[in-house]
Amino acid sequence: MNSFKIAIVNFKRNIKTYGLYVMAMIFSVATYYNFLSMRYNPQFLEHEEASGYIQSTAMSASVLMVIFLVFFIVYSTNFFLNQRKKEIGVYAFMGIDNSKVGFIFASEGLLLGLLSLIIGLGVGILFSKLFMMILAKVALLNMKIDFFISKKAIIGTIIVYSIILMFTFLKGYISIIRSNLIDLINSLKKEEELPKVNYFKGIVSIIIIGIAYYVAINYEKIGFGTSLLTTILLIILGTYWLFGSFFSMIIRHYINKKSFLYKGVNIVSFSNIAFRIKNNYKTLTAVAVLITTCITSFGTVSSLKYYVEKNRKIEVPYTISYVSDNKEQIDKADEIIKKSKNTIKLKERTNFFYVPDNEVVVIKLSDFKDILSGLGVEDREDIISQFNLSKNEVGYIERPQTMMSLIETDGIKIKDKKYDIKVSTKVPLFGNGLNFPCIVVNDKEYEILKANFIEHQFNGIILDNPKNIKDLTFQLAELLSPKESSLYTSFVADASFYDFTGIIYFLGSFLFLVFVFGTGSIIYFKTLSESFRDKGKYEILKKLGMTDLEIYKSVSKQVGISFILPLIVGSIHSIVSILVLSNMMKFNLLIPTIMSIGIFTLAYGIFYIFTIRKFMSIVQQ
Amino acid sequence: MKVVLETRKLKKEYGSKDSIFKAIDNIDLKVYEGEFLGIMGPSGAGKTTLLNMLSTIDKPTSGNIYYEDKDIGNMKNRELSVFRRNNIGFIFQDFNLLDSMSVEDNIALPLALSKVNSKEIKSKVEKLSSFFGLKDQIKKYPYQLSGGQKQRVAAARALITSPSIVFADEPTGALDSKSSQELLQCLSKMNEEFNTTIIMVTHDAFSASYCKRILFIKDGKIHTRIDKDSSRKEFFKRIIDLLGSMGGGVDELF
Repeated sequence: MNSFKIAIVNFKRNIKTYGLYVMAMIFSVATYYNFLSMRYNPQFLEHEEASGYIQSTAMSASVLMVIFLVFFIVYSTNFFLNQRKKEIGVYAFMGIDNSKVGFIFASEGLLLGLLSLIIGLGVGILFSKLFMMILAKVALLNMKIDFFISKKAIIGTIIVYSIILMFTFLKGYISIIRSNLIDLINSLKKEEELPKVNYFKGIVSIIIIGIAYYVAINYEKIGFGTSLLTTILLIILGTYWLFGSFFSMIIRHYINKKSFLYKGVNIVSFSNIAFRIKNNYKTLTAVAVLITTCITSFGTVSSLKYYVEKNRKIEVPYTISYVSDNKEQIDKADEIIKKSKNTIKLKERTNFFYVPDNEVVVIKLSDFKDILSGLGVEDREDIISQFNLSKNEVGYIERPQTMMSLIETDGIKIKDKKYDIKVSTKVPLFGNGLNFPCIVVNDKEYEILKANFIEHQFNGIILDNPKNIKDLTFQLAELLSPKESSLYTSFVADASFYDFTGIIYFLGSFLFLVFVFGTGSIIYFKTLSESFRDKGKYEILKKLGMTDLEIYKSVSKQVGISFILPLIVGSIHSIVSILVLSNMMKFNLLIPTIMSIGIFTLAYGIFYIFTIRKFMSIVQQ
Repeated sequence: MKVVLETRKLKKEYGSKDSIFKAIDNIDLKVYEGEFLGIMGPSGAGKTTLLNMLSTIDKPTSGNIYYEDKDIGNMKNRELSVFRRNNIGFIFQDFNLLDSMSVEDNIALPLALSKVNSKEIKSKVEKLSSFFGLKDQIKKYPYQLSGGQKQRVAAARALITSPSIVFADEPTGALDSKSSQELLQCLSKMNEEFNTTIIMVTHDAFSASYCKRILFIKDGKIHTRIDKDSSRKEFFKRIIDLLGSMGGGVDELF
């Protein structure tokens, strides 16, 4: 039997054990292929506006995925090799030289990878039409999608995976070649010992995370780039120590609190956790960081989607809006609207002037208040109460299409006069028809400033259940020259609007799924390796009279804690980061955040249930 | 005297129809309260099989086992587990301590699972650990203990539920002679002071000499039984003689 044959035999025998890994891999290959192939899809390429977005989004999504894949594949392969040190030791014991043993075990991972690559490509191609169709749908692109196989994408996928797989193959091979027989044998006998608790690190970890949060929230003072990098580094270090020391502290506390410990199965599950945390904390940290990335990125894309939906009210507050001071023209426009058999719900006429130097428009406070109540803005009382402006103070309303601003200014100069920006916010005002930031000034101040600029009149009309907007738009365009009057209607909005956030959202969701799959698999493997160690313990406990139900309870607790700790930590981290995002976007992102955490928890919960079932079946064999 | 454990026509068979192997063949047995019973016999005689059935870990092919007139053959799995936890104590050859728990937690385990009040558990643990000379070891973990200490922890754990019977399966098998002697003295003391009923399987004549009565098993049947009526030394001699006459036993010893 040559070594390649042994590898194949091993591979066949272990394929069941690696089922989840293979599934995760197949899914990732299929997704990666589709990410690549959408860049070459002929129908998408035809759509000029969207294709740019699709290209760049798909590009960044696939880069993110490669980073994750490298981590996932290297981690899993490493894990499998460590699991099988005993077997490796046996081969080495029989006198097979290290390079051969290395080849046998490393090529197993390679075979596993290649198998997933082939199946994954098949699955990816099979579902590519569906994938593209859904993408076109969420991006609101109206197009027909044909079945399409992209050779370039196939080659791209094969290249990327081959490189990663070759890399892990070499890594595994080298690590086996370098291992000594004595280490391999001792790794089996190594008795677990109760870890020492480092109180210093435990307490400091909380402080570090606290500082990281502080830095993240105060990104304006520190600078966005520095703040981001510092936060990431501090969070990783803090989380590492949190699991390494802080949780040991907490669990040790519970171990010593006998009134808690001596209550049913707690004694079993908590003792196991306390004993294991030293072996597990690296994995727990990795999982917590992955969860953070997962929830944050999904939270971000769903926030964008949510934002676009909500922001429509800010971008298109009126059915029709235009700028004109010509009385005759305005009357004519009114007549046209009347003829269209639409009922007018609101007619807003406001004076403003444009400041070319700053590219802002200026209105007076009383008008601002009128518009807010006219548009029926939620919590307008709150907003208006903040606009208690003195002579030198102004309010700043963001440009409707601004998604986020990284630079905060606290002053503005209009016609050689300096004003402090007292409040800065984002509310529906003029919409995209006047796509500029708006400065709200005190009424008296407005009258003074007005003399230096040309005043215009803004006309905004809201129709009740608008009909025939297309025709109406064309008729109005004839009357008012659209460029001068900045004519903007809900028809224009719909026509120029295709949902690029839809594309991001869709790809983000797929990426999210791949991440969830990967994260779930990592913690699943880790828990399984524990189950093999705990098998003996539960056999003893059974002899001592522990019932099956009690064993189940104890396992659920033990596994549950190693699932839930990283989830809690990861969720808190991501809540903070989305909080920062929401601050940048001047938008409340509570709903998408809760949604993202909810969806993640659901998917994660499924992994939890599978893990417990597998754990029980191993323990009760 | 009160009968704690009784078996009637106990049988255990392995294998299929063509080749039935009778591990235990029609054993009738009565164990009285406060007894220290030894079970001896050559390898493969069925000692451990008998012990496993008596201690409810294994089920007989036929026949009945009564604990104080209660037939445990009718009990369901769950019931049996709880029964085992509350009425039976175990001491195994390889200790079977949980290495993730401290000594005190190991001793407390059976009561903790039964959700007994934690203060009550603590005081019981304290009492037993001083009885077995483990006072200084209470916060340690099994990997920090010697074999003899480990087995005493196991004995303390076996006693904490105040069981009606303690089963000991080759308890000195993994111990050096000094630790063995200490443990056996502990068991004797336990038997005398707490009137604990003990059933011990062993193939070591020295260990067996601490018992009050010994049952010899061969080929799944009771071969003979002898009672201790004189000093331990003399009893030891009688055991050796008997093992010699049974064949095989002495070879195993030396």
